[in-house]
Amino acid sequence: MLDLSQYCVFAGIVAVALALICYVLAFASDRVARARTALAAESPGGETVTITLGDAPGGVAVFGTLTTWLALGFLSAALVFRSFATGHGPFANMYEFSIAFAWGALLVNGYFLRRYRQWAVGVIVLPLALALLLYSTTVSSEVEPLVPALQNNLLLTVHVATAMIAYGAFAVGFAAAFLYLAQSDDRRRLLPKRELLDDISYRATLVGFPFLTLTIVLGAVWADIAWGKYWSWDPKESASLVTWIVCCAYLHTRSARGWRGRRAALMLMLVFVATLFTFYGNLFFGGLHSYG
Amino acid sequence: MSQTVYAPPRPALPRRLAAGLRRPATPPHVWIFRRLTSMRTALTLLFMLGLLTLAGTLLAQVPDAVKGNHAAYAEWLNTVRPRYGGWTDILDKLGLFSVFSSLWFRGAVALLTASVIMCSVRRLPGLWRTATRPRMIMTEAFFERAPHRVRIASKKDPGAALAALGAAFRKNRFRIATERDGEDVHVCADRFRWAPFGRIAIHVSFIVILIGAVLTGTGGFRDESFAVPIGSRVNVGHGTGLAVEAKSFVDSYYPSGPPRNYASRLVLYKDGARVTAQDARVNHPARYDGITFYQSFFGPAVVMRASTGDGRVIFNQGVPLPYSSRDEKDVIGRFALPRQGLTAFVVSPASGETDPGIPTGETQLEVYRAGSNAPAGIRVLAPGRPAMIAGVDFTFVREGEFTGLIVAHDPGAIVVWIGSTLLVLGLFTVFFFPHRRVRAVIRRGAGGSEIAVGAIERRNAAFPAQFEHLVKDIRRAVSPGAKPEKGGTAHA
Repeated sequence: MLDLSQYCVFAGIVAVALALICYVLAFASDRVARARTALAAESPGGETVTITLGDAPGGVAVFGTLTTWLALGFLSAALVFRSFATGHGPFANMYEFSIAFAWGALLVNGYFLRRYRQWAVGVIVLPLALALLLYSTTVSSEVEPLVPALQNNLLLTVHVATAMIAYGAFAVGFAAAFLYLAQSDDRRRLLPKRELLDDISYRATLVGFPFLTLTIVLGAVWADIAWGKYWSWDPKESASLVTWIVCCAYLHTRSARGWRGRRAALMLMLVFVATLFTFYGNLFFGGLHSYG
Repeated sequence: MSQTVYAPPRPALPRRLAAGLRRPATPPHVWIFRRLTSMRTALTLLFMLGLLTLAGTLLAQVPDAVKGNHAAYAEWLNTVRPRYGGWTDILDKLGLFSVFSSLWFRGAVALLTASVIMCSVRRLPGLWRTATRPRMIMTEAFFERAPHRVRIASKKDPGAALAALGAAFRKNRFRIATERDGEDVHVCADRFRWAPFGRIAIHVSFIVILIGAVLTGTGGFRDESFAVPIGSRVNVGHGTGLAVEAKSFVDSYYPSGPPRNYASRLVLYKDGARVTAQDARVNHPARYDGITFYQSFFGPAVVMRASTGDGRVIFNQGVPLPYSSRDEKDVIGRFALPRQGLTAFVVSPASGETDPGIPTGETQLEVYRAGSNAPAGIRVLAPGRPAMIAGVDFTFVREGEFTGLIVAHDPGAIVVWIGSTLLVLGLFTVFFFPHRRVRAVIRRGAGGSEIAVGAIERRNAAFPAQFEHLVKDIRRAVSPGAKPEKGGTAHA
């Protein structure tokens, strides 16, 4: 079962790499068919707003999208097989975290791919996923038995799974924000319109923020059971709180101060940096989360 | 896309005239109210908290045990001095080695709480009005300019058209309210109209969680070094009337070495009567009457007996040895004989260590009289051989083990859980079930009725598809059989 999981991870790595190559080729060649529906009209305020509906991937990008789904399938299978082999949620060490983070990024990317049909976001998400998967090959994939503090299968699975979805959503938000900054004055034909990218990055954060909150709350519940204190200002707890606060600031600056576009994109960069800091922080700062 | 508005520069007023026109000074309470309800203030505080939390993550933080002990604090500061060099004292003065209990952090949290309360109170009436008493009569300009709009001709008369329109809205899970304006019927359709109150729930939850944290910090108790020798009974104290007896302790390990399980079999007594027996394991604390017993640590213990000169036994139980000597070669424990005014320290070689002064299998006893720093006697005891110190016969009965528990009563935890539930529910409600409002007007038209539908839902790329779907259902309901007109729906 463990071997099967390992094979699925390798298949996932190959699929992500292939999908990335397809997308890069789609960018490089000018043969990508893009069906854009742009409807413009005068709004009551007199401003003209353009919303792009559904950019269907075409040509080589279709293969990219298909292999992205395939990669998600392989990684899901890898995590399931590993869970069966270890008897607990596949979230107990850095090897498993890295694969799960890549899975989370691909899952949320898939959700937004279905909803917005903007494969271009994958151009940033896939390298991130690939980097995480390649990193997983550099750390030990041995199945270590769970230390007593981690022996809570339900909370281990739910707490970390929600974290991975939140991290994945922030990765997608970062990708869209990055493309927003790259898409200066909407001239890059192969990139989605800036307004759409702004919307995707915002929606991704709307997915990530509740899941991050749930992660922190479930973490507090678990800490109360295992460590006897729901909050200990452990470095990982504090780092997740920093991410939560930055995210909270992003949502408030957007809704109340009208920060959109460039400033919002920069805020999302910060959210993602904070996410990475939360993810890797325990490697540098130790603390109660220093497993793996 | 934003529109740039050109504003001509104002001609500058002569300074003296400008001074004369200066607005009257704002009263302080109005100024404070304005600042606290301002989003700019809330965001500044949020950023400040973010930076302080980051500092608390990056900088070493003083352990709780060291706080309040001046000498221990100075010693701890010296341990971090090599890392921070000349910055050590500056960071210390700024309170950045105990960020989360610093004035900065607490002040920012207090101000943010005030800001959250005021903002929520200010927003509540508006949210209530929007949900319960929306503006019903919309102007023609709205239906002409709404970002999402459509006009549909129906052969049905206005009454039948309204019924069909209502059915289409209800099919899409919208709740409708209607109002007549002459012959026109205005419709306001809402989906998830209570969802915006999730915002209030989120902000209230912040306050509830803080109240919980304050209750945790000020009420209840927490004993992190509650050691119970196996076979002995120790009072919990804190007015609980509880005592814990440790029947057994098990520590097991995987063949590769890492720990597998730590578990204690505990029997609890309330006012001397046995009330329950439970196992306390890591991840499975024992609970009784609001008090929680967490398995936390374990270590060696010695069973000691003390008796007075006439043979009366005044102490006979295990003494945990939870402390280490500076060189970590010995483990130390203590027990008191309050009636005799004596405190005894027991010192034994740590596991795997040897102490030339204490032969293996023996233990050293140091007895102090109350208020004296000089020992009344120091003796190395072999098992079963009594030694008299300060008029008391001490006997080292045998070696043993103790289990270390964290005993806590946290009245704030339940409040934190209520706040957390409110927070999560509020967030999922607001973000996953956003309020949607669509308006329509039905007018009598040539050969039936004319229906205009409009919605203001900006910058949500998913809404046009939802609107299209709704319009399709409305069309089907109000003019069955008619072919959908191309380009009939407009999105601006």
